[in-house]
Amino acid sequence: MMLLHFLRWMARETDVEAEVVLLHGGHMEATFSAEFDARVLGASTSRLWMVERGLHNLGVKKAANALAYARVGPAMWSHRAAPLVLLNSVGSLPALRFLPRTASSTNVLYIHEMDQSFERTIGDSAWQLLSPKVDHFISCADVVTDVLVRRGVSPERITRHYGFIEEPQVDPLRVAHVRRRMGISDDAFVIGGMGRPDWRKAPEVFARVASALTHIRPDLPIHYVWIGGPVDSSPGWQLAHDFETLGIADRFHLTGEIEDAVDVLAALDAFALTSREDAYPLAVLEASALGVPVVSFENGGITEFAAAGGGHPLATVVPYLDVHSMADELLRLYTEPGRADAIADRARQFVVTNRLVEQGAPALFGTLATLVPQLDQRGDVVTRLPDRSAVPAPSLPGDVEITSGASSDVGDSAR
Amino acid sequence: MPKRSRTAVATERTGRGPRVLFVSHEASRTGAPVMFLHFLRWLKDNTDLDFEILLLAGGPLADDFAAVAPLTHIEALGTSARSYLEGGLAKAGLPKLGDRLKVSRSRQAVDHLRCFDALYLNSTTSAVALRILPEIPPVVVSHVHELDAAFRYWFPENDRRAMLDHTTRFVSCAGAVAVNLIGGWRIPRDTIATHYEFIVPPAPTAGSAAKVRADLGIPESATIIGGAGSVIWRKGPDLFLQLAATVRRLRPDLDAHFVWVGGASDEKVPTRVDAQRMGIDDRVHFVGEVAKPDDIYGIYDVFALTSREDPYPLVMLESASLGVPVVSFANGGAVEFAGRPEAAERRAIVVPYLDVEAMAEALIPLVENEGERRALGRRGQRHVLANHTTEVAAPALYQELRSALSGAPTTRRSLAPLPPRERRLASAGPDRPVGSAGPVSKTRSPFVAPAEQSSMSFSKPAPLDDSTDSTAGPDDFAGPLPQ
Repeated sequence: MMLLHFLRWMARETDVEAEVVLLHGGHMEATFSAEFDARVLGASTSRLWMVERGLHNLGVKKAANALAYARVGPAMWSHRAAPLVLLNSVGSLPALRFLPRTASSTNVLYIHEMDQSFERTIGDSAWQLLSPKVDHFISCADVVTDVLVRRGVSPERITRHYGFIEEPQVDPLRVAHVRRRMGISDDAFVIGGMGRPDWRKAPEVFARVASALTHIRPDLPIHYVWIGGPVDSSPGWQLAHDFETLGIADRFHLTGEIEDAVDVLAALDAFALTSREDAYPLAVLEASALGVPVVSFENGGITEFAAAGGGHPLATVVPYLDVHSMADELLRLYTEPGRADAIADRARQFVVTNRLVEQGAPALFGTLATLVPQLDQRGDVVTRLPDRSAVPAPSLPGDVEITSGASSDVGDSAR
Repeated sequence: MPKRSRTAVATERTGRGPRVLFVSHEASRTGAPVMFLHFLRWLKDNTDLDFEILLLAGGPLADDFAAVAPLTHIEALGTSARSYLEGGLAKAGLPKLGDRLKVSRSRQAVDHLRCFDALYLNSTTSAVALRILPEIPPVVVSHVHELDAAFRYWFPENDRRAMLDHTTRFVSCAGAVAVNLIGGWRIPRDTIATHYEFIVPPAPTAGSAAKVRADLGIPESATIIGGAGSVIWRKGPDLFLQLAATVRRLRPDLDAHFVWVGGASDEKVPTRVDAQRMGIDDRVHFVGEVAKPDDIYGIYDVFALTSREDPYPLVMLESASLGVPVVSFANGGAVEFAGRPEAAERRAIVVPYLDVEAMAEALIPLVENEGERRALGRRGQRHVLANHTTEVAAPALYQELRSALSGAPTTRRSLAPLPPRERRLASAGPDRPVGSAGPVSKTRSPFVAPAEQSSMSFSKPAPLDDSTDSTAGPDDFAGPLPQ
């Protein structure tokens, strides 16, 4: 999502021609294709991609690699003259394998992942092989900078740019309709979670929080909404099973992947970030922008977000996987509405002042233009920004190539 | 697959006793295959039943199965390269092709398995045998070890339909399983026999406890809370970790360690990282799969069953047989094992589902009070030794098979009154939501499966209605209770 925001801003505000290559498809594939004529090298339903993965998993690595070269190589080869290759997410890093040695692009990797995601997405050996090809790293939070430094990247090659969002626009009538559609009464307290239900976003922990709340205060009209999908596969079934077995299936709503995720987010009274790790979740920014207070485990960049309010935290952070504490804090938001409103107001003010596209995109562009000066031909963007450390840029003119890996780790919207 | 009549079979095999093909879905060290192996060994040692074994996938117990009876081992469900390719085709949007390849390949390997009088399928996962065997005997016994979630979400539609079409006798491993079969799948009550799981009680090596503790870095003085099972969502290893963290929070002074024995899986549950980040990695020990876990069980002081769903886990029986008291969520058969809830009579402690706080609060007194711990452990132990050993339970299961072969009805209807959740499941009937494992079409058999629903609706279960034929209330569960 953040990449999409950035590309849209660039298209509006600069003369840069960006070409987008998606290494894999996903639920935003159509959007990227429509708006940026993205080239999709591994559609989510691609059988060739499945065969490649199958061969890889069977240990037939040579055949798998050959297929990968056939799939990715031509796209990377055709952009070998691009002055800037912006790789979004560590999942995009393998694309550098297919860049010809003669390519003289500046390769920038925007990292949105933390340790476990690193290991599950790319693994150490691929990181050791490919990270030296990256000229500069963008980290989405200090916690990610720490991960990169631990993995041998010198701090001088890292610039931090927090994630940013488009300011969500909601219609109160639509929000009310969402609650009615879900059968949620006006007096209900709605707690939401969001994202692809996998090990990282930890929906099973969301169910455990619900369990704790149900046992602490079974009398309260609390509803639980998980925004995201899929519904019809193991993660969705497991989540449904937990709520059904808890006896509160009538108060659980699994939306699946929906278009009106923002409306559902706005209908929440509290947002519970149950992730095991989350570098700087856009869902937190979106919830905050909508005035929904956030409670999170200590799982990544949320600590930096919360601390940005100085002595008045912008979110409530509890120890890692401390379900009982999370339940207590969510309960406090219900029983102390004034406090909840105060937190939500502070967070909202901060997000609309600091974490919207209008603030984040120019800063990011400025860094890229410092690395590749010809990006800002007019000079009007960079001149608005503070100086950043420069990296010698190639002299070849041409396009910017942006590659994006799997969508699941980039942005948190269920859209 | 054509069914052969009993007459045809009898004609061909004049003068011989019944011949049975037992099917195990795999040879892993998990509940269903382990119990099955116990049963088959008992049959070999105590009966003259003529039988063979079909293994649909391998595992560490494959040689043990082979030592019991003639064995056909195919990789219909395993992790061979071909299985992987077939699974990959399914993921690539070609499920029918993958399935056809699997069935075609498997059929060639089992073509010699003919002329059986009965087919005994252990676990619903073995139901694929009905689609690959060259002929289906007139008697098909399906021994169900699965509860609601597994049945609804992970049972392939083709196999489920085959099982419902061809099974003449169901064996449920617990009353809760029977309730699910009746209430969720409309299977006639009189075709279901409940035979609780059974074990060969573990025998920890004398004097091994000190060494095991030392190997794990656990002081002699520490109390050990044990868990067991594959490291998968269903078994709740994440809940085990949460339990450890909760006990530490409630009683940081308590010297308690948590040991989990059982192998990792494809699910890659991040137990190690979770334990580290929760600050309990010095107290939690995931031992992995162990060939002989008896010595590990031998050091447990309390067994915590953190499963989200467990029909009647062998690991619970194994620990209980050693006098280790059991604390469990209300997650299936543990409720039946526990029996009466009164403190002086209960055989285990059952707490509400997912209520880790309650589990911790139940555990702590057991950790602190050895007398209470021993008393509870003794009651559980007596119950296991009286009802759940191979010597006690296998004969009854064998008789069930004999009655199925002879066409006689079962005499072991589901046992024990059920708690509210199980009654709700039984009463919900065809209105219960069905997962997307695939449409369940009407079959020729009397076992008509519920209609598919196209979306996940999480409506409140229907209230208990005794007028509905499929309803199973506590009064309907008659029959001899295990003593």
